[in-house]
Amino acid sequence: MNNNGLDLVQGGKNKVVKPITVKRIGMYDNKIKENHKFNSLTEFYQWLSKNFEDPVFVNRVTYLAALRWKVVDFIDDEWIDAISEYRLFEPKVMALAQKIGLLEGLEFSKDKAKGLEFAKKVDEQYQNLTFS
Amino acid sequence: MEVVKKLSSERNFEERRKIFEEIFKDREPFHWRTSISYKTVNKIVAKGYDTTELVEKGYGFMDVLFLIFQGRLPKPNEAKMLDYLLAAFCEHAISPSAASARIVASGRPLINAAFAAGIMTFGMAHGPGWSHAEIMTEYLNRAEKEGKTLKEMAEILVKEHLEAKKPIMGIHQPQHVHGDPRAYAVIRKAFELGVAGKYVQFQLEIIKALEKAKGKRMHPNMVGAGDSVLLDLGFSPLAAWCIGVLARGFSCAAHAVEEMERERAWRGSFKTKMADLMSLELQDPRISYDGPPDRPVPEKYVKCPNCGASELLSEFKACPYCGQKLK
Repeated sequence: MNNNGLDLVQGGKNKVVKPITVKRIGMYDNKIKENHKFNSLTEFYQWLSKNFEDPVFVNRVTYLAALRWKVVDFIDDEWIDAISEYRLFEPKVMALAQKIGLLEGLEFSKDKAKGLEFAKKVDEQYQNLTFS
Repeated sequence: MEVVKKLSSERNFEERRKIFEEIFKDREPFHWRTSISYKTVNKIVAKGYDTTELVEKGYGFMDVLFLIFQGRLPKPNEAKMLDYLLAAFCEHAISPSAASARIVASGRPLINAAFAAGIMTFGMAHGPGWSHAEIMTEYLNRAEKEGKTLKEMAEILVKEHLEAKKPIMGIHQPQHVHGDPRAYAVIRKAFELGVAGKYVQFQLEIIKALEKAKGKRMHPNMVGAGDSVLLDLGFSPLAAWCIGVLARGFSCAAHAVEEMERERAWRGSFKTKMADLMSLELQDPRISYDGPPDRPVPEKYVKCPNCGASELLSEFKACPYCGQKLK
């Protein structure tokens, strides 16, 4: 299993739980407004989708959280500062995102539902999306 | 005008000293002038601090950068920010700078020539650019003069640049099309460490104004993020440029070292398993050449059919030796 030894919880069959923590921080006052922890990309997506209207923002942050340890972006004068343990391999993740339609070429879809489909597939296919 | 009758080597020291004093009666002779540092036989002093004492007391490379460029030792959060920024900026895989360092290294010059070539690629498109700092400073000065907020001035900057079809420096990276992974992290860190000032805030307002104008999300690149932070840390535009470029210089050096230690010189061998950068196969004219087709080289000289004189220029109408008409 190629997961860099960072799995914290191994769930049911083929289910790997990788925590994602996120803070909402005031852009200028640096105050932490909210602090959350999620156990999957799907849960993280659901939180993003509920809290932010912009589908491109939601889809982009979901996609990046599958790849990067640190994801920082700002929207409406607020920082979204996330730490993700997924660290998947972009060429494989990008192919999946393009197949699903989350990415149209290199542009993020304006359809929020694509983000959910992507997050679910990443959680299901985690092992196949690591660097190898 | 007085004729020089004796060479200087023919004059003794006393004579030369007198002439020297006469010449420099009203001017000082040349001497180095710097506020940065001095050295003596046994000591090196930068901005008043003995450099050995500095490092012995725990000051590091970031502290020294503040010292020599700004004449002050930084606060811990400022040094931390600079360290974060330079570490984030140092390596960027194969970019024009690293590629250039490697290509030059493949010719096996002295290695400093290879990484110097790498950092010489920085300018208008690649890497830290002076123009970003200049534009930011110009518009911030205007904002102060015209009593405009950062938001208002950012909107003016975007409008003026879009109308003039000029690129807005500091935004977009050709490879990281979903946003440079380092850029927002650097800006966020500047806020976290309490060093974000008017340049960083102005950069964010420019992004917001551009997003509004274009109707889509825009992302800063490392010039936009890093340069704004360096300016907020108190570095001048030129100093910011130099520090960024030199940080990447370490990466160029690492690439040059690897090139020399691991790869074959010239990168054009027919024997390597992978077709190499300068392989002739990659230069097959059927795919790589679109100049004129092969053709005979015209004769540069003509020969006189009468007297046999050779090497006559083809534009001659007659032989200059015998007068024979030439074609």
